[in-house]
Order: sequence, then structure tokens, then C-alpha cells
Amino acid sequence: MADLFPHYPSPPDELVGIAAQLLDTAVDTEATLGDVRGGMDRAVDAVDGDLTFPMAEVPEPVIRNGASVADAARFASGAMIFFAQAVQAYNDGIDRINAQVHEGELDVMSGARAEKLRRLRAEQARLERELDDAAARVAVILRRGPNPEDLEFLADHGCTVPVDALIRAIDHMPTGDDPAAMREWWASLTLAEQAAIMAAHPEKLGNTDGLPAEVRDEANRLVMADDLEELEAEEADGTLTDEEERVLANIRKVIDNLQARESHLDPITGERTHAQLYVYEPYAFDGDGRIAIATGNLDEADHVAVLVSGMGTTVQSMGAGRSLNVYDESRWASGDSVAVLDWVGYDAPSGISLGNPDLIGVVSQDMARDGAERLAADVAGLRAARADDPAHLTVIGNSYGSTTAGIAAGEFDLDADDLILTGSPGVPAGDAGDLTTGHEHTWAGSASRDFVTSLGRTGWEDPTGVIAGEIPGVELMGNDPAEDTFGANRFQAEDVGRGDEWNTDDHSRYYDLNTESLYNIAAITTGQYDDVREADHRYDPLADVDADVEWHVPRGPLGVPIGPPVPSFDIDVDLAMQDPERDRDPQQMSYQP
Amino acid sequence: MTHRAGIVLSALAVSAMMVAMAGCSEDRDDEPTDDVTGAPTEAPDTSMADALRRSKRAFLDSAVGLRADGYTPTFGYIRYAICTDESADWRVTANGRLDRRPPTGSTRADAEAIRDELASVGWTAYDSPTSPEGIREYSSHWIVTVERDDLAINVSLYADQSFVLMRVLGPCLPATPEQRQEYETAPDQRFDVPPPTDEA
Repeated sequence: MADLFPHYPSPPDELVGIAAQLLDTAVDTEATLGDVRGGMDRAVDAVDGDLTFPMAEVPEPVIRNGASVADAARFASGAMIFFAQAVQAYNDGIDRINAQVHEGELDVMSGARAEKLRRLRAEQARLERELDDAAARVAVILRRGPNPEDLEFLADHGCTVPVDALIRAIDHMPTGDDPAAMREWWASLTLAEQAAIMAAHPEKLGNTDGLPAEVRDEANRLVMADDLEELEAEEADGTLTDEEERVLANIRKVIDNLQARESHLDPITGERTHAQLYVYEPYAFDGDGRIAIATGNLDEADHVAVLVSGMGTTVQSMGAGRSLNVYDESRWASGDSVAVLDWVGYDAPSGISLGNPDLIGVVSQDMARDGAERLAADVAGLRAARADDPAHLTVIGNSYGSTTAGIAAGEFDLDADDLILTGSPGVPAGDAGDLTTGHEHTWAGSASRDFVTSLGRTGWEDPTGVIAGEIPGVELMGNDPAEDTFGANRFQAEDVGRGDEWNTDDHSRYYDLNTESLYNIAAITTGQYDDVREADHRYDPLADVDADVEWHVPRGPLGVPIGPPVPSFDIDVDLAMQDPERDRDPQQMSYQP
Repeated sequence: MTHRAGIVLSALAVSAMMVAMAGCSEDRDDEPTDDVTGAPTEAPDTSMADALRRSKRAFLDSAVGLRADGYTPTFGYIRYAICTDESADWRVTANGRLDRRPPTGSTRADAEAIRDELASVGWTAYDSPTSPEGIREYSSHWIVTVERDDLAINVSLYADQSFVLMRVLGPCLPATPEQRQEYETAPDQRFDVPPPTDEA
């Protein structure tokens, strides 16, 4: 459960982001003023001596008004930093209070405990009074507007940054790919310096591993606002290139996705959920885009889940539905704070058209492998940002995304506490023990009649491998993680409305509300392993048969394949019984209206 | 059936794999299917608007019914949720929190009392081996599930929290692309909940 005494609702990093936005506005206004002044100078030059109208005097009131707008924005930014400092002090105080509340200590109330709780509440009240005082001071400052006295006050309190200090701070920004060094550098800055750097160079911060997610979010939103303004201007002019058109569509999709998460209500508090734009690269992959958006606060959540989607996922197909279901069910499961990161961070195979260049990606591991490396790096970034306060982190790969996540755990040191593979067509590892999450923390959710899950290699047959061998360039995704020999935990993931035989509908229902699949995913995501309902593994029905089964493709004249692979001999074993879940009574499953 | 290869594979196995992994069986987009069997059916005469109205009503009626047991609703809201990954089917849900008076954690007996209260007004406990008599039991919480017609109610109770969470699940309904866009972007909508009574 959450700490007894909560932080202030808006994190200081968010307030720093607001301050940066105000500074950005000031800079933009000043740039516009420069343009106006330049235009006027040209006009004066052009008409000087030919007209008696005093052109040079006209723009001054305009310039003065514009300058006052810029000054006001800078002034308000300083005031916001003052408040952010107060919130930071408040949160630090709350942390000290919570550190005095030991787990379970106040559950059973004795006299001594009641006294301790009273003392802690008194301390919280004192912190709240200080924060209220700061808020009142900010209100007065903003009401008065820019004035020498308050400017001096803000400068004295470190709420504004001299240019030379800003340059020094930027000079110390680490180069290279070292999330830990980046985190240390950022933490060494004052809040005012942070805001100033974010306003000046948001593109240096938005996708930088090691920085707090809230900082990345604020920086990415600043960059996105600039991109949107620029592309919409080109759209209005009719000068958008095809790629820019896709990028503009990506940005609009990102905005929709952010709004969908920000207008979602938390099931326990009833408050709107937080959303963070964690990765923003709308131009990546030739305009397909690379985006990651979180529901919840990645910097503070007790549990973080990273959703890795599969084939057909692009920024354009990105939706909030699955992550909101995972978020809600995880909140239901524990009451702990949760953040769910929708990670569209790789170039997933995006279509099935024969003319689609991604076609080969569907039937090979190449795109999954590229994505796996990126996934592992992004998860490492999440970890680095919370080195002192690690979340319980679960990576959830669905369909082709499970292959991607499996490769990340097998080949790129994915730093996850738990790995969930749903609807998996296979993982290119022989044993869960070869993954960073090991046997104990690798989980497979495979509905017994989900066709896609039949595509993984098993220990006893490889008919799809035979097919793959017939077609150059075709490669399977790997081993079935639901099989006993793979050694992962298999959890119940049947659907009440499942098909009678292999089908594709069962591939798309792992994340529906009130299903055993989602209940189990939520239990794992929140680390409540005792609440996971485990399923029996798929197994080798021929294990006790004294025969080697080989598969071959029947061929006609000239060696042309004429049918599906068949075993090299007839054997009277019901291979459908390989999966005990196939025969589980639907009445044993969670209800789904 | 002696081996699954004959079922699973055909010469088109690879293309079938692609279609399945993409979750893009195009004929499903606009064709309603039976929620239980998955078979094509006539379009349900239940519209999302109707499901919304009935789900909200069920939430409010249940909240009122539970007031006598000491539960006070603190907020309620409507949310659309996906049923299938590719967003072909959606459902509406009516959600909210009910605080316990006095503010204590729950027990299994409390879960049974809620189930019985809902059963007394026409809901049926969903009885299955993993949810015997309508109660799915976890290490520190319980989820009560009852059903009536095409609606279901989940109530989650916690040993260490003085509130319960309740949601009414509407049926999964096929959505057109325009409806998907609408559901995807629709903000969760709060609705008024019954005020506390003097006794509560």
C-alpha cells in the first residue's frame, strides 16, 4: 500500500516543467519582438526621407508591450520555481515522516502508537503550513507582476539563473551513454537551472536515459509543441512532405493518447491519472515513429509495467485501452501505486501486405532483435533514474512483443523483476533459466486454443519449422514458453468464450477486464505471486512412447510441396491432449459477460 | 484427430501466422459475434447507450442497497474499456468506491454479506471452482462476482483498506471505427452518487 503520508500531488519536476514552459514563452516572445523590430527597421529604412510620417516612433509601444509580456513570463517562471522549491522541501519532510512509520506498526493502535501517530500528524501539519505560506507568497508575487522588489527576492532565493551559470551548467552535461552520470548531473542542478536548461534545450533531455520520467515528459512536450506548430504551419502552406505528413499524424495520435490517459480516473482515488511522454521520436523508422507513454508516474510508482506490443503496432495504431485495463486491474489487485508504460519503441512488423517492406520482419526475428536491444536500453534508463528507489518492474510482451521481450531477457540483459509473455509465438531461448528473469520470474499466459501460441517450437514436434525450412527467409520465433521443458510459470489465461479449436480470436483477449488472464497479470505486476493462479504446462504426449517422430512435407512431382507436414508414421496418440488447459471447464474460468 | 499438425498447418500457414499475430481478421471488424461461442450472430439489439444506462443504474441501485450495510459511495464514473486487443469490441463500465463505516478493513464475511445483499435483489453469484459461490479469494482481498442478464458486478474488498471498489461491466459490443475513436478518446465521466444517510 501507499505511504501513510503522501507527497504533494504535483511533483517538483512538473512545476519545473511549467517554469520551463514560461521561459520558453519568454524566449519565443523575445524572438518575435526581434522579428518585429527587424521588420520595422527595414520599413523605416525603406521610407526614410520619402515620408513625413514618423515610422521609427510607431513600434515602440508595441515593443514595450511585447517586452512586458516576456518579462512577465520570466517573472512567473521564477515564482513557479519558488513554489517548486517549497514543494520539494515539503516532500522531503514527508519522506522523513514516512521513514518513521514502519510497516504494519500503526495497524494495531496502542497508546504509544497513537501518540506517535499524533506527533507525526502534527509534523505533517507544520509542513503543510509552510507550504501554504509559500503558496500565498507566490500568489502575492504573481498578483503584483514584475517589480524590482520581488525580482530581487526571487534572485536571492535562487529562482532565476544568470546566463553564465546556465552556460556552466550545460557545459557540465555528461556526454555519451551513461544514465548514471546523467542522473547525477541533473540532481546537481538547482531547480532554476533545470528549468532554464529545459527551456533552452528540451531536445537534449526528452529521450535521455537516467533523467526522471517527469523531466523527460516535460521536455518532450515542449519539443512536441514546437514540432506541431512548425508542421501545422507547413500543412497550412501545403508544403508538407509525405514523411512530415506521417509525423504530423503521429503527433496528433500522441496528443490523443496523452489525453486518453489524463482523462482516465484512478479507481481508488477518483482523481485523473498522470500521464508521461517518456519517449518522443515521431520521425523514427521513416515516420512510423518511436513513442512510449506512461499511465501513472514512473518516478514514484511502487510497480512499473512496460507493455511491449506486437506485430501491427505503430504509433498510428497506438491506443490506451490495454494499458488502462492493466493499470486499473493492478490498482484493484493491491492498492499500490502503479505506472504502465506503453512502449511502441521499435519498428514492429507493421503489415501483412505483400508489398509491405516489413513483410519479412513478420517471419523473422530481425525486427524483434532490434527492438529487444532498444527495450533493454530503455528499461536500463528507467532503472538508472530510480537507482535509489527501485520500482518492482515487470515487462509484459504480447504476441510478437513477447518474442521481442524474450530476446531482450535472453540476449540483452533486460533488467526486469518479472517477465510476462502472453500469446507468445515463441521465444528464442531453450530454457527460462537462460533469461535474466529465470524460472521463478518468467511467466507465460497462453490460452489453450490461441492459434499463435501453437507456432512456438515444442520439445516433441516442429511442424512449423518444417514449413519454415521450405521458404527461404522464413524463421520461427522460438520455443513455446508454456511448455513444461521451458521452465516458465504458466498462469491460467483461458477465456470463457474461447473457440472450440485453434483460432485467432483467443489471441486478443488476454487484457479484457474480469478475465483470469488479466487478474493474473495484475497479480504478477504487483508482486503478489501467491495470488497467481497457475496452469498446468503443455507437455510432450509422446514422452512415454518409444519412438522418434520426424516430420516431413509430402511432395509431388518435381519435389513440389503438396500438403502440410505429417509425422513419419501414424501414431495413435491424441496430441491435442498436450495442453491440460484445453479441457478445463469454462465454468472454472472468470466470468466474462 | 491424431495430430495437431493437420489442424494447424496448411500451405498457407505462414500467411495465417501473420494474420493472427497482427490480430487483423478483417471480417471481425464489423461482424458481431456471440460473446460465449464466438460464432457470428445477429447484431445485438443492445446498444452501447443502453448498456451505459443499465450499467449506471445497476451501480447506483447496488450502492443504495449496500448503504444499510455501512457502505457509502464516494464517487462514481463511467469508463469505456476494450474487450479485445485490436479494439474491435468495447464495453462500458460503471465504477466507483464505497467507503466502509466504521472505517475498518474487510473480512471474507463482509464479502459474503455483499454477495448476499446483491443476490437478494436479483443478482446471481458466479459460482465456479476458482470463484466458489461468487467469491474469488486472494491472500489479502476478495472479489465478489455476480451476474444478471448481460451485466456483471465485481466488488473488491481488502483486509487492510477501509473501502471497497465496485464496477459494473456491460457486455462486449462490436464497434465501428468511428465508435472506437469515440470510446478511445472519451474521458471518464463522473456521475453523482447517492449521498450518505444518517445511519451510514
